[in-house]
Amino acid sequence: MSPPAGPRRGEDGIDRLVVALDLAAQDMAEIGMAADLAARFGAALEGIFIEDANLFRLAALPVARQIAMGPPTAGSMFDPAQLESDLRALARRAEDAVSIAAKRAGVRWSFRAVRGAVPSAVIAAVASRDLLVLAAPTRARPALGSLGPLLCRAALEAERSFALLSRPAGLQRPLVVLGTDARLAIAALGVASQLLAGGGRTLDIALAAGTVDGIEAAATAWLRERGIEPRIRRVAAATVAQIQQAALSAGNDALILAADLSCLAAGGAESLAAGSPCPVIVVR
Amino acid sequence: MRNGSVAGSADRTSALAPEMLYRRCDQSRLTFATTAELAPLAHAPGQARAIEAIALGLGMRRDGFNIYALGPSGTGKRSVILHLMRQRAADEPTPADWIYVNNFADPHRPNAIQLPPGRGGALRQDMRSLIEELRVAIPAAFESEDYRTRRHVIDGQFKERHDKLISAIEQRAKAQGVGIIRTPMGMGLAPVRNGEVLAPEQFAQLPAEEQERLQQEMEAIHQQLQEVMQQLPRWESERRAAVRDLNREIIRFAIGHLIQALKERYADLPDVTEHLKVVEEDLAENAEEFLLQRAAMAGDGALEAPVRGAGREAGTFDRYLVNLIVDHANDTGAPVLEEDHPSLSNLIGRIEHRSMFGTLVTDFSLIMPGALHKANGGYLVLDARRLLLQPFAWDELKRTMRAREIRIRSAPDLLSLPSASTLDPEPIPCDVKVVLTGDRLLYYLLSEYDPEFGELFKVAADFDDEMARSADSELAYAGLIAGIASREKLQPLDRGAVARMIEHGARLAGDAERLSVRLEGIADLMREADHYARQEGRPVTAAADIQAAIDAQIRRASRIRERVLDEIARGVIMIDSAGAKVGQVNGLSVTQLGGIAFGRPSRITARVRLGKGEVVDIEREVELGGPIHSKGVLILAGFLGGRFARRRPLALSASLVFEQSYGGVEGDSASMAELCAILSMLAGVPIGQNLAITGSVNQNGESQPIGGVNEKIEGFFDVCLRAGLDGRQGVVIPAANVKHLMLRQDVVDAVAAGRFAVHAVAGVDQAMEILTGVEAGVPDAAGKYPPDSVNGRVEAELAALADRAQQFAVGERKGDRA
Repeated sequence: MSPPAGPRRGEDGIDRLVVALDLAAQDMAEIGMAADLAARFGAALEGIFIEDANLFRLAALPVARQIAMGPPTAGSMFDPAQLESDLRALARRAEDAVSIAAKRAGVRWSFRAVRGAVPSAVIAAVASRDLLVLAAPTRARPALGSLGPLLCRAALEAERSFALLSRPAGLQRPLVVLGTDARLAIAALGVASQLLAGGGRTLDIALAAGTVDGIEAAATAWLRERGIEPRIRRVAAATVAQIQQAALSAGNDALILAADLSCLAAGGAESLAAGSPCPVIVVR
Repeated sequence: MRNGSVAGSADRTSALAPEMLYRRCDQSRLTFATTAELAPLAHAPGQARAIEAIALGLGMRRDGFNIYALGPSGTGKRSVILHLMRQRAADEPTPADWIYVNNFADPHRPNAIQLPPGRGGALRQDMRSLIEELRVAIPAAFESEDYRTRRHVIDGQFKERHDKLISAIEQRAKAQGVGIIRTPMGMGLAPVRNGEVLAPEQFAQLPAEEQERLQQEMEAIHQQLQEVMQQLPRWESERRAAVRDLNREIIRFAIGHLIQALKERYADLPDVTEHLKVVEEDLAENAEEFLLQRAAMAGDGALEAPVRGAGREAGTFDRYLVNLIVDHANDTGAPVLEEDHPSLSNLIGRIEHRSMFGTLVTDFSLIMPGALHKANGGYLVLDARRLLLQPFAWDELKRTMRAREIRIRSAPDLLSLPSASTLDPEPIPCDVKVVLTGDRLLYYLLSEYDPEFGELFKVAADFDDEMARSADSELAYAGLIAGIASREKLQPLDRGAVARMIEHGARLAGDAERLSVRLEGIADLMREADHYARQEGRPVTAAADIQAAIDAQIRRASRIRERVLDEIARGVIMIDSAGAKVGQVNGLSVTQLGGIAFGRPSRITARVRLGKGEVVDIEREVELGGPIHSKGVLILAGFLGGRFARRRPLALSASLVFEQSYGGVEGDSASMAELCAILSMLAGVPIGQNLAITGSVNQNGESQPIGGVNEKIEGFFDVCLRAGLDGRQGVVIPAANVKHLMLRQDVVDAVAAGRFAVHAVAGVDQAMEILTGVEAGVPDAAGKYPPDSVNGRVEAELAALADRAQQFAVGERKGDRA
């Protein structure tokens, strides 16, 4: 039996995964996962190293304070030349990481540094058929000072799909959470069907009570057309906590969310990713 | 004896009768048709002393009563020892199994555990099964909803506490117009407006109070953030502790029943149950490691995951395995082991290594047992020479026997050399009866030079390579032959073949009254004879097959012997077998080359002149003569002085040489020949070259026995045979050697036909009479020998030499005065 067909490229597919690498997200694990995902989607991988314009203003401002990890010290001043040098070094390291991961996964890759105001400069670099990949905040990588939440909200507003990668996961048993928009539901199912392990024939779907009946029927029909049997799970409400619990109890290793879910607003996506045992992909 | 007889034409009445040259086996006493009718003997008869010693050594379970079985190779030491050991071991209890397990407190020192025989293997299987169960049960426990929920709660609590503080700081900063920005070095604080950091000129345009306020606020936030950061490691530590406790609890729950079942199964073995307790503790303590391994093996996408996973794979569950180094599950009785390559590691075991990322690593599972482990509680047979040739093996064997514990150490350890990481396994108590087999020289050397040897090997089992020949022992020998035939799956031997084997046994012993018990040589001959019999299609090996095998063995090894005979026949090696010469005699020597010994004549000549009573051994002068040969020559001077110069100086200088001898000469078996050459020279009486003589002589002129008499006689016989037997040729041997005669059949036949003779003599006078045909002479009442006798002529010549010496001395004194 052939693997389930996903969305066709050129229609609903993902052409490129854009990994946003800010100063907080230099983890090889996330880049490796992004490269693997790109291979699964048959997409290219692009690394974008973000040089936040705020950093340069900060360095130029005499009153700005620097806080470093370690014993308490009096705040020290910034050195703009050192900042430039550090950023160049980090960008090189990020490029190397993207290159290694892409070669290992066998995908095409590119890399560029984007300097400007975040999030507008980044969002501008992400096309509608791209999947923006962000590192989700974790214990080891707190959200404080990170550009992730900002980009996350901006991506939602700019109607871009994005993935929040946190801890390592197989990304083979996704749980799809559908909202009320039928187009978004099908797009989410398309992404999820491409992740099913080894041509798996069953896909977990979470539906909040009160979801429009037509969504379930449309999802079921769409999946069955592709030889996939939906396994519907009812949740009382599509809240962050309910979705996390649903994924946790079923042992899912990826959360695929339709972007119209109300819980994604106001930092819901980051909360979901931070508290879930698996990565989160929000499909627009 | 008669004066004036022809030299070398001795009265044949002195010759030995043919039946004295070869003692036949009386077949009428062999009351069987073939060896198939005989009860086979397991080992050689005539080793009662050695067997008694072995029985004592095996029976004494006290320190140091180990055995050294000494004797020539091929005497069946090994088979006798193994036979007796197996007999004894069969009734002894089967010793314990031994396992090595991980020492969780100190993996460098693995623990040894003893179990009743057979239960080591069972435990090994149980632990394998347990690990299989763990591989499923532990991941399942960590994947359970219960675990996920509880873990989520712990993480959530931490995150909530963390987020609460961070959020408060962020909110305060935001409210006060301060931004927290991630920088390459950490974080920065700066005044912001609409999400953007103020440019320096924007900040400068702010009122001074506002600037002051912002700076104070940033300072306060800075302080707050620093405090939070100080607390983060402590919170993280608390979270990890909570997770660890949860993991332990989950593991205990998942594995408790599995370990408990094992504890109950091994409740009678406290060491095992104690180990299981430690395993349980370790499993609980290392739950994190299983999770990491699981994540790594699941392919978490991290680039370093495969490396991390590979490193952990061997280190997690495998450390609960059991390394069964001694397994007696299928054994009964005590073990009997023979280690034919007694290297250090083959004796005391070794620790192997495996390569991991370019480094050699090891653990308890790579401990390999040695022969001492396997023979523990039983018996171990080692070849002493091989043992001593192996570096460190002898010292470590002694250390093990002294300490009564097997401690595995490698050669680099013993040399204190740095080596790959290794282990120091717990020593295992050692109770092994060690039997060394070796030759006598090694035994005496060890006794002399190794003070520990006597303490550790108190029992010497001395194996003889010969046994006395009698009617009874010939029958026993037949049983031995039957035993070899049965063991080697050879065809039966008929009575005639057995008789020929017995006769050949006497020939191998070099003694008509003894039989060789060098079983290896006997067995080889039987195998070859069996081959010939089968070739001829005979179902039973006959005497002719034995003879064919003997002949073939001799023929195969006879290249050098025949070359020597050829050279003698061609006159290159100058040996006369006819005529007579003064001061020249045919001596006889034996050459041992590999598996064959053959005799050959050597021309010995003597020259005398006026001198000071010394006999010069030319071989000695050029360092070709050994000390025993020189001793024999010096004895000659003693004889001459004692017999002929008691009242006057021995004014003689005699020189002796083995003509055409370019190798070393050792032994005193030519001393009689040398004496005869000197006497011939002094007496001016020629010695018949148709005769050869062998034997040593003492200062009284008595003939003493020598070795290799059969080969020597046959050697001269072969020379004469090629030159043509004329009935006058023969060999003179010491009378004491007659009992050693087991001559070749063709020699015996020639003697019977009167074409060759073997004369036995008691002393030099008798020898001289045979060699010269001149009466030796007996001293009268005044001590004077008849003038025409050999001794009379010698006496006269020595007197003349003494007179001349005196004249020279007077002349010299006069010359001095002039």
